[in-house]
Amino acid sequence: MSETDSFVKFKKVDKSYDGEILVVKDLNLDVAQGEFLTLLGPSGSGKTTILMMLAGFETPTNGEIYLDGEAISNIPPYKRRIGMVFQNYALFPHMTVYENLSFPLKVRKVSKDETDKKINKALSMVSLTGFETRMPGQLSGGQQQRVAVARALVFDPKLVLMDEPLGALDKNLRESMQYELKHIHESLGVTVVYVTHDQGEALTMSNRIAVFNEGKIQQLSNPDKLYEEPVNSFVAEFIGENNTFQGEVSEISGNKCRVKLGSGDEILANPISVKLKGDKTKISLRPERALINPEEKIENKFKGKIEEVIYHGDHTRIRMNLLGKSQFILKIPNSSARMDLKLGNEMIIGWHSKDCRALDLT
Amino acid sequence: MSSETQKILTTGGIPLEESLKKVEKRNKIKAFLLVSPLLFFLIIAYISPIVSLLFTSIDDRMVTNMLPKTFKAMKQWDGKDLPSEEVFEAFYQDYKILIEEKRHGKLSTQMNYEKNGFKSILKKLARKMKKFEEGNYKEQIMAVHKRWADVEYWRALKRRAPTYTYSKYLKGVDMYENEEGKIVEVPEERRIYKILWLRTLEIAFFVTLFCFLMAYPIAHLLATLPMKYSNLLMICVLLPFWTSLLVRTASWMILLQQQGIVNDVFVWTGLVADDSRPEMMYNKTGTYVAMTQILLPFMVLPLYSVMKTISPSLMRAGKSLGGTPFITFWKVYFPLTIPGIGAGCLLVFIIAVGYYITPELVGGASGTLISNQIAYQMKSTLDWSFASAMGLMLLTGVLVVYWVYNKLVGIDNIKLG
Amino acid sequence: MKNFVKALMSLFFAISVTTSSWAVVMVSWGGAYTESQKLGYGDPAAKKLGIPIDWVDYSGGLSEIKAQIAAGAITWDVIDVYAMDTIVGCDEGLFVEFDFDKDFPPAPDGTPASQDFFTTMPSKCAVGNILYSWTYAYHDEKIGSKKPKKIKDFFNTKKWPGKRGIYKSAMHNLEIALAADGVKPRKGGSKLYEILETDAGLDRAFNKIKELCEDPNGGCVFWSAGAKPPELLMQGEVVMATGWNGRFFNAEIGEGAPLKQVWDAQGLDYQYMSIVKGGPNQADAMKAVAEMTSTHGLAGSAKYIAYAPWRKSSLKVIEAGEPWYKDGKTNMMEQMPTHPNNTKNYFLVDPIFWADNSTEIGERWEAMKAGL
Repeated sequence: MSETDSFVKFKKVDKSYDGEILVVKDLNLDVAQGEFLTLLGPSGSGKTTILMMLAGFETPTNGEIYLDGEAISNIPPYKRRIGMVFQNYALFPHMTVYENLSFPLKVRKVSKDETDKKINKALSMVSLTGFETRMPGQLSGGQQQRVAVARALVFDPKLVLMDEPLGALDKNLRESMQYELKHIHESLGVTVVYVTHDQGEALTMSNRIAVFNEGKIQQLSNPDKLYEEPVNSFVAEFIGENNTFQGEVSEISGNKCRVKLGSGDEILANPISVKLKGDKTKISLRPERALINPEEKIENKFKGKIEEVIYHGDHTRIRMNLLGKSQFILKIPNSSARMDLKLGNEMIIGWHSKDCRALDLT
Repeated sequence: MSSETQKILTTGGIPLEESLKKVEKRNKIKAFLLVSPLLFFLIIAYISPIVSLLFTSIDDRMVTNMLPKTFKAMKQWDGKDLPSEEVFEAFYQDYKILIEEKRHGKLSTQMNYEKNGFKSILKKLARKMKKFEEGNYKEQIMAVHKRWADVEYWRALKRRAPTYTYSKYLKGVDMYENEEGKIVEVPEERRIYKILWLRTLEIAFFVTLFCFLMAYPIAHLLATLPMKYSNLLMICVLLPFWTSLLVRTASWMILLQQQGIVNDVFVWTGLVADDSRPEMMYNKTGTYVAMTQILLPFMVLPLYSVMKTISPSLMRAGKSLGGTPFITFWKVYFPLTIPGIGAGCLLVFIIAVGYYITPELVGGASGTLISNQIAYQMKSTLDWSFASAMGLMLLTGVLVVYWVYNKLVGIDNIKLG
Repeated sequence: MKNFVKALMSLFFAISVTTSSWAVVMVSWGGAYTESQKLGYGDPAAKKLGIPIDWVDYSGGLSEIKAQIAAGAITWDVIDVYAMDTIVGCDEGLFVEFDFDKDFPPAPDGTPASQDFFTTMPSKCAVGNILYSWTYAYHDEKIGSKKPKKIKDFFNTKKWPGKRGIYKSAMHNLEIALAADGVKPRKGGSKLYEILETDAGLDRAFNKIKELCEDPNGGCVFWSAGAKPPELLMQGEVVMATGWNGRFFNAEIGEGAPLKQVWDAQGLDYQYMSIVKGGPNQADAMKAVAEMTSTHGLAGSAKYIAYAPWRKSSLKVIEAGEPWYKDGKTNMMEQMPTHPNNTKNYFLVDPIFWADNSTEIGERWEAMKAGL
């Protein structure tokens, strides 16, 4: 992606609040027009700061941010034409839904007819037609959030920022809102930068996800790649579930390496961050990639003992002791052909070397 | 419940409505018993003083009972010319009894409230009456002092005949009921209370306004600064609370008087010439400055407590939606602080209306407010009924302000914290 | 309800009564004045009679004692009051009436008490304590070479431009206004009050004050606390100020301030003691008051403050003991408001006139102040 055709561009941006600690370090990030980009990371990773710099509430300590090809560091927030949805909704409590939505239109001196039309459209988009005269206090949390979304979109902003907008909702509502937001994004084609610490949310909605830790992007890619092919152990552990083994590379050639574990066993793995024999490594394996009673010639094949069985409705989780590690997790779909999952039973577990990624040791 | 619907019964067969009422009644009695000590306290501490104030202000039984014969005889009198011999004789008889019972002093105090100059002629009469001969009391009394021949004094006496009177309230607005029963204004050079009411309201209004103008940014700073600075600022705001009122007032005098520090600085910096130092003390300016400073915390605290609850993300939302900082402030922040503004303004106004020590010390000729008069009547003239009347008028005034506020903003829209 | 309030109030007072309720409680104005009373005659009397005396401060007025009597729980025995308050208090039946010559001891030479005191008392419930004086003073260094000497000079804003400090109420101001307008007070000042009784005379006095206060070269600063006039003069806020002679004396002699008093048309005023009717120790209170207002008692307080004793015989004691002031070098006699040098032109503030007219004149005074 070249500098000109990226819609939002962070160029070498640093941010520090106190002059001692860099909250954001040398950030280079491009967002394409119409893209749904999620900034994902634990709290304190700098993702909200990035959003605030984009919105104009914080100034970069160094570097420049471009929006639609224009440097925006010196443009005040109210001139940036960026819609924003806040975690606590930030609806104006003394105004009705209609007044909340008309606020951005009024300051832009949009005519009354046009205002009504836009508000109708925005409200129907979030299925809240007829709620114009309600006060925010009379709405449920989900309804308030939808008003907040409608308000952020009603003035046709160039870009919409969302700062953990679903964080305060309960689980079911959160999931249905995820789909709703996704559909709104798809139908409007507006560019969205979304901040969350919830990986499920990020995976469901985004075109691309930037995983942050300690002010730096750890990995930037589309959801499936992020999940299937994490580039380091932070990403692997932060996204989804993970079985890990620590060890040392004893042999490496091409796209395979042999790792010797502390227990003395050896695993064939896919070398991602290791390059040389003797490198320390952490091996990551997704639970669903571990196979039970695999075919004979699979590369890794070990015997384990079931220590715990947890029923989850659609699947069953099994914790077993494998290769001297008692935290090995397996996910088994609850099909009709149920296996003999009993405490203390022994099973053969195997996996392919390409599924088992040898990452950095942190 | 409409009449057509069938009455729902509980499993015990009693109508549901009745059963519910019974249970609720028990709860109500319990709740009442729980708060009854508080209710009792409220009645003793708040209601009863107001009732007794009202009673004191209209009760005039004492004078009525002191001169029963006089007032009876006066019923025939038209109040135009001097009363007849009968009235004089009745008054002589009444007054004689009062002297014997040593109660004549109280009458002289009471009558002096009604008409100045009564005290000395009643005293003189008490001394001279011992030597009175029987009959022709009119002439004998009139010979004691020329004022006894002045019909005004007899009219004043008649005005005190009723058992209950609202004359003190009239007096509080520079009015009185003349002999024809009409309510008229007192002579111009004695109209003082109206001026004082207006001045009290004016000072209270402007002090409230200045407090608001100064407290708003302070409270905003307090609410938005990081903790370590806001705590320090809070201490600065509260400091006046911990200093004696008189000390604070005295320090303003030192600062603001013509030869004071502020003026010295003005002269030193060449802002004003030494012989044209502005007067900032012993006039209204002094009152405004001192009272604003003293009452500032009462405005800052409610404002602060309201501003503290306003999420900063609302301002951000306003800006992100395209509002300039001013529009965002005016349309979003300001309306949300109205409950605090209301609470602070009411609080400051009500306190300012009752203030009198500070204005008296720093206000010079304009420093007399209505409360000074109340204190004066309480302490010096001992005319408690007039003091009560003015106290109640002040209270009524405050209630009117409260009512107006309720009409304009709504009293539920008030927030002290 | 009234009884209930009464009961409640007595409860409060009962709680406030301390263990020393057997001592005579003497209520006065506090500060240097109470100090002079305590050292001058309070302590000696207490020692002589074996009756302890507790000193309590108040700020004047009769409301507290009226409330105590209404509640039936009296804690005060003796009150130091203004003339007007003794009249009102006596009329209201708050105070004990004296049988003067029986209750108070004669002078050492045998003159009965009623003859030994300067004037008669304004009410039967009052016994004289001290005489003080309303004078005016100026700052000796700031006034220039020409010094004011007469009461006329106080109102002369051409010769001495600048603000004047005057008392916040009408009392004493109207009298000096007339005196400055050319009225000879006559002995005791009866002429002044004769004129003030008339409407024209009242107008005349009011106009004189108004003229001074509205004069662009003049102007008025109203004071209420006795400590204020010397302060205003020292700070240069006013060029001349009326005040109480004891305060000026204290500033001039006690603190060495360059203030000078003018005694022309000084107003003599009095301070009295009254005994509360039904006080907790009425009998002891009577004994203590008699002792304190005896010849030597009254002379004693003049050691500490420049207020004159009421008894003529006390003056002889002071004269014989000069220098009488506590510093051991200042002669008190010439500082006394009653000294012949100071009484060439004077008036006695008439309590009856003010008891009669203070409300009406007060209203007019406030109306005038409001119009300034």
